[in-house]
Amino acid sequence: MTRLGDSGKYNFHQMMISSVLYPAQVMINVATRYKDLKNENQYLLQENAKLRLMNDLRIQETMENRRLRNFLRFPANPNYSVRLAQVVARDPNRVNSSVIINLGLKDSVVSGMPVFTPRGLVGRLSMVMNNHSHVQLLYDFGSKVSVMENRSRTIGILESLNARDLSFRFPAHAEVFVGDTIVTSGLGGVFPKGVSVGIVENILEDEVKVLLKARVKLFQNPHYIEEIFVLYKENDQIYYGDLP
Amino acid sequence: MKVAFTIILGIVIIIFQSSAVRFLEILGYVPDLRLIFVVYVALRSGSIAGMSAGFWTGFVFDVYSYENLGSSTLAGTVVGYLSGLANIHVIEMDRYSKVFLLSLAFLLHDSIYVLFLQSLQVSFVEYLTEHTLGAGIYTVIIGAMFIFIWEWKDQANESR
Repeated sequence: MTRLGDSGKYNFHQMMISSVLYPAQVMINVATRYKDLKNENQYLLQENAKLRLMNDLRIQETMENRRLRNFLRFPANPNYSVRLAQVVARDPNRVNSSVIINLGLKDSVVSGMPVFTPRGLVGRLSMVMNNHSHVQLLYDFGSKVSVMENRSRTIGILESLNARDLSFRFPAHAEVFVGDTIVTSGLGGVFPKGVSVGIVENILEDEVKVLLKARVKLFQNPHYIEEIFVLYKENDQIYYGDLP
Repeated sequence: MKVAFTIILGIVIIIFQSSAVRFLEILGYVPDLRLIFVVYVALRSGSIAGMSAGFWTGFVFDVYSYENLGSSTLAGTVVGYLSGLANIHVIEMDRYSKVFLLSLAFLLHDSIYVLFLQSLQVSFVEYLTEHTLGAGIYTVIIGAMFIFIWEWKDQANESR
């Protein structure tokens, strides 16, 4: 028999009962706290995503200010609102080109809105239904995003290489090296400028000799997303109203 | 009854494949339960049933695609039809032949599927080795387990 300590506070059967009950108590505690934790987690994730996005935008502003310090004024970046969405289904095909989220027309989302996580860009809304939407991931062969290398400001196109890797096509004379960061360029009007996308893994030869191709590793692997954020930003280049 | 069971099974597999299959992920690969289902239906009920199973499941899968619309439907239909045809007309299959057929079905499915992948920047062979091989091996292992259980169950029923 085990007797713990001379104080007589714990004996064998108490220790046994305590040991057996402990996991169940932990489980019950976790279960009762689950809802609160979930709400708290959602709030923190939302806060985190917003701060990350703001940070990305601030970095771009700083760089912009440094380059263009002779100017006195710049238009401020609009303060976009974000909303958390749950991923409810994924593309079951071999090429994972889309996910479905639980936000739809009833949540005022529209096609083309950017989708991201605190780590980086994921894709954009491609099809919006009443209570759910399809997100076109960056891995999709139809996805072409205007991006730039953050250090040299080289602008290029980000597209799917083989449905698992992404390629960044840029001019052959540009100085892009392994380890450089890729962010959105803001061109095209869909994605705001400066959202983190990924990092250059290696440089490849392109079939077109005037271009080079870099394999990009995304900061956020779309295969492992469970919650994502929708940026309430409509496409700048699309006129939604009736033509005069 | 049998048809209803097959339809319900197909729906369950589609839902599982699109929402919960990531829990089975190993080294970034997930099994293609839909293909196992199509081959199962083809072996069980013949080529027309296999073709229908391949068509309808592929049709649902294509809802998620943007660039390669119709590729899953076509690949599933062809694989379902040929699997049923092989079982009836070519050879009386034992369990190992069925596993081999599943492997061939997987290869054929992905070969048809990849032909429709527009904008693919890598070669056909590179795609197959990078994407198909891992998922194929995993699917065949899961499928083999299923086939062995199915055969064992059939043998147990016959011996009664």
